[in-house]
Amino acid sequence: MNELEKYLRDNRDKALENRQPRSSDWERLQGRLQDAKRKKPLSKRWIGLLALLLLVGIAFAWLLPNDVEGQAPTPQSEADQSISDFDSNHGLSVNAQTPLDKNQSTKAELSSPDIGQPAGQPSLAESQESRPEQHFTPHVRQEPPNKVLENQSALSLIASSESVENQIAPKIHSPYLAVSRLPRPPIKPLATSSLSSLPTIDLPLPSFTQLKSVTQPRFQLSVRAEAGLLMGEGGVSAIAQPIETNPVPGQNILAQQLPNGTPVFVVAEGETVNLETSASLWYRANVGVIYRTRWRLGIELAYGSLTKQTLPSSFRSPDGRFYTAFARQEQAWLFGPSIEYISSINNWQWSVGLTGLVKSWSETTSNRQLLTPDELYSSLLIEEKQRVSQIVPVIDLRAAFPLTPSLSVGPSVSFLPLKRNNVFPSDWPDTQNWVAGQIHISIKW
Amino acid sequence: MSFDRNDLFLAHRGEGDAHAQRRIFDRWYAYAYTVMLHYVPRPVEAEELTMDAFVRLFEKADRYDPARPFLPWFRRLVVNVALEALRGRLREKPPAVLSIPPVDNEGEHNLEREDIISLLDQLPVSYRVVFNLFVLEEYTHREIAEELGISVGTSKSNLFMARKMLRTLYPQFHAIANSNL
Repeated sequence: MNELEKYLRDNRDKALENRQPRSSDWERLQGRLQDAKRKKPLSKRWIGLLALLLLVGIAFAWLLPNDVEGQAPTPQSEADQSISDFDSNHGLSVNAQTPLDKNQSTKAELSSPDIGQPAGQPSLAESQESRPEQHFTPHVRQEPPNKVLENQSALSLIASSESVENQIAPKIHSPYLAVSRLPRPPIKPLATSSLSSLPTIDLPLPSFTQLKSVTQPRFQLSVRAEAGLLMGEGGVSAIAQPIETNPVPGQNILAQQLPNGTPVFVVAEGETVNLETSASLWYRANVGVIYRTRWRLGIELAYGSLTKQTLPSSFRSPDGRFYTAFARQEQAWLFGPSIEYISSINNWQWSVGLTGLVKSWSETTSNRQLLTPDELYSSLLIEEKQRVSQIVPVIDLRAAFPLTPSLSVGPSVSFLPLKRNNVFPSDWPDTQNWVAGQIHISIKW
Repeated sequence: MSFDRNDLFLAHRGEGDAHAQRRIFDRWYAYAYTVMLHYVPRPVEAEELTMDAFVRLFEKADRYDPARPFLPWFRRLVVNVALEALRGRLREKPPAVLSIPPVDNEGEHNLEREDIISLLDQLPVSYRVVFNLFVLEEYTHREIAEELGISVGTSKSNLFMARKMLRTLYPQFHAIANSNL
């Protein structure tokens, strides 16, 4: 270091003696302070207004019905109508007692005193033929009644009726319903010849109550890379959530279908299935600008894929009567604006982000159920694809501890309140919240 | 230099205690102005930016950690205000012809701060800022590069050019610094 530099450094904290503040300097500073006070509430008002607009927009979109393209017809539409018509025309009475207690069972009595074809009415076969082809068609093979009675404990309801649905549906409650977003299959009317011999079926249903929202904790690992104003993030998440099974000895058989046709999982007597697993991969890309050093405003594009497996494929009841497997695959594209506030406490940098994403997702659901060696239900395969758009507000809380100037690591939490797809039955949860706890690694260069 | 933490607290709280603000202003104005002059040697502009620094001081006083010395924190605040003001000018090209200010130099220790500041004023902004950050703030080239958003090589180059120009501008400085350049 040369002498001049040394002189500068040695005297750097010494003020110029001939430059003491004048009264005019103080007056100018007061003017600046007044200006700063006037401007400050203005900027806060703007931020508040923008936040309010964003919330109103999200709420508005939340209330709007989803735009569903290519969804399968729901049972309430044609299939149920067909059954309802058939019921009224043929005097088919359906009585469901709904004690809905784990120690009790629901008894649905199906009787058809007169199954003759009324004059002027189209035959059932004709009415089936005249219906447009269903997107997914459960294959139901009816066995003789004695076989049915032999396997009462494993039976699920084989007919659907609005009257039954109205009594039972509001009381449905199960974590199954929260995690299994399976589209409701249409129920084909049974052949008229078999209706005459339909027995009274004991329908063992567990006690359910309606859930309006569920929250799923998720555990994620993500890597975030930032370069200038660009940010990219990718990661993997996994979920292992206990689900309620094996309730009361002798009553731990869940119906394959609820009376309203909602598919649920069948668990054999004595069998325990206690985990639902899913794994997902996602990628987020964000382009943003820094506003006043602490605000980051951006546009985000994200892609995620999710695979959910509810029961292991090897699942089989001890007596080998049936098993049920359920899998779902989902791909989603998300796009929307983001706002992030960044600050720091000591060495920890933390941020709060809100991203309003328009989510468009396609979903494929497979539900394979093999029931009884007698193959009362030999197989039921449902594959459904649908595309749904909705607005999803994503809230991110993030903390990062810098290990090096370009590498930091820390925890974060993401919250996604997902609205239920309206193709799902009305007794399913309205929202399915994801709370994702993450460990993230950030790399900057 | 003494420092009354209570004044800083009062100057920030609520609408800001004007008396506390005045006391802080009177006590620290000359220091802030001197620091600012090294980065922005033009007096009028330096005065304006010094005002900005005090406005920011009263706004951000809650972020000051009383367990730490005030002077480095305040100096850093003033330098940040200067850097923000100069950030857009870092790409300016140096003038083709350098004007040498009249300096009565009878030896290096007769240099006055104003003389050195007038010398710094002759440097292009990008050279001056790197020189100040390296010499006065004792930043490393890597830290300068991160602060200004330039490469380490550019930081080194700017420092070299700043020293070279100072040597050209001021023969006395050249004589002193010759062995070190």
